[in-house]
Amino acid sequence: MTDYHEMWKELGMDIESHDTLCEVLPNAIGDVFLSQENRPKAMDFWDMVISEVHGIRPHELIEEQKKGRKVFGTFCVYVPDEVVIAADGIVTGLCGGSQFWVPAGEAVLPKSTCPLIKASVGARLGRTCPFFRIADMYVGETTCDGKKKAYEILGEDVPMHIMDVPQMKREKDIIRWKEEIAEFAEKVEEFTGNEITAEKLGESIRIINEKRKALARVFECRKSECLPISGRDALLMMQISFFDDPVRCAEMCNRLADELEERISNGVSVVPAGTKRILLTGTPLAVPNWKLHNIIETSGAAVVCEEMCTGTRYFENLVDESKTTLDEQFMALSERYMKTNCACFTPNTGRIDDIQRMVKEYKVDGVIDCNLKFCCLYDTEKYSVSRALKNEGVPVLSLETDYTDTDAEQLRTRIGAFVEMLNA
Amino acid sequence: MPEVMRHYILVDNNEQGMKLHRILDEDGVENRIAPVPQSIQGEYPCGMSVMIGDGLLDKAVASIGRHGAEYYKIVSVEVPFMPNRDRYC
Ligand code: SF4
Ligand code: SF4
Repeated sequence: MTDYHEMWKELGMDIESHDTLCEVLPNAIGDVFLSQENRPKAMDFWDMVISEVHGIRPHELIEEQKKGRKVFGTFCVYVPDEVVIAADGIVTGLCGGSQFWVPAGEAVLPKSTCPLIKASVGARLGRTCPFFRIADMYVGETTCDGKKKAYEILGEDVPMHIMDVPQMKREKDIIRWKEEIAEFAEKVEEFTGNEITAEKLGESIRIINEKRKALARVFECRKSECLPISGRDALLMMQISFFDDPVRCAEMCNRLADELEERISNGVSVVPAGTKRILLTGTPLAVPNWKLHNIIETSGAAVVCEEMCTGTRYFENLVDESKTTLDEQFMALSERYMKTNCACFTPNTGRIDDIQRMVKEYKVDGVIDCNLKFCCLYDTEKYSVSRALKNEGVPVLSLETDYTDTDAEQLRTRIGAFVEMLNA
Repeated sequence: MPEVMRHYILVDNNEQGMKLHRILDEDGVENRIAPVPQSIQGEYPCGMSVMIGDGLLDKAVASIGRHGAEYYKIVSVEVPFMPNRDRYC
């Protein structure tokens, strides 16, 4: 078996503490993923990646760094990967999804900070995640207040660039985001030493669009009455897409989509006919946050869509590939990214429109709207989401959770009752 | 929950593991990529293995022999998966 200890040591990681994280992973993967029957064979790629999640990809990134390439760590789907790739840089997602990292985050942040932020800061400062050690530069954004303040702390430990995300979506905001992207491009050029040309940006726009199309193909299959993949497996694919090489990611997702399409034509479903279909909306589910999906899918329902940044918001809307100057391309990027409907914006009615559309497209029986504890933005939007859905006669369950296991029983009770109500 | 026996074929690296996985697939031996279980991780945390269910060990060994496939060792473990355990990471 490959021994990654030397690599982790060279990254300055706290090996002893990290080993305890490695110890709990196999049981969780077994319970959540391997316990399922009739999984698509093409999940083997993601099974491999998650089995060696702190080994395979970190090793690849380090090898690329040795060739002089720079790795940029990001925390939000507003940061355009295309710009980094155009300068021969590599992007890796950095959002922390494990309770394991929370205490180290709480050592410097208020307890009343959302777990995603606490885990992200804890993973860096606790030196227990290779990705957080490898990234040469972090790219933050001015989305929510908790993140803005956390970036100030992280910025003391690692080179940091902050992108100023607008709070509204007027024409002038789209122009402002375009300017912010242009400034980011300059920063990336300076940091990598590589020029971004219109040709290179055109190519990276194409690469990321192909990745989006491949993810969309998998989601298209989830719209089928005959459900060829569980929500848990689709979530794993999505979570790892934030870390993977974009070309390989597209290839693997297309391979999976091929199998899912074949399953649909052969009538192969992972759930019995009539299983209630759930759309999950709300705050992102960073790896290895699998709690909600696992509870829903072991309570007699199936997750068929995630309206969240680790879901449809990551791949819907393509960047216009027809532009030939950098100025036009930056505008095309801004236009695409500003279509992402995050609760950090006001108003954010586009999110409700999206949920209503997806309820129809994915043939949804009920919506679960869940935010991470202390995320007041998504918590507040629950009111308008639930009102809009109830007006349309769509059952909604509003929940709040964090990364601990302690509320699992309570979640099981509430989700179980919701599914029972849908079945009545 | 009844104790379930699973067999984990440990490998030297992930390339070897994926090769073995493909060979078993070709021979129709149902298998999945799985992390090495915690109880046998030893000094190598964060590693993949090829997992096969109870009753398939003989078929797997025959297939490996036929193809001269390489692996490190086979370990059998009684660990039931418990989807309702609610122990996440
Ligand atoms: S929820 Fe908002 S802040 Fe978080 S990743 Fe999505 S767009 Fe960014
Ligand atoms: S979940 Fe909410 S509080 Fe947490 S990082 Fe995202 S927007 Fe900020």
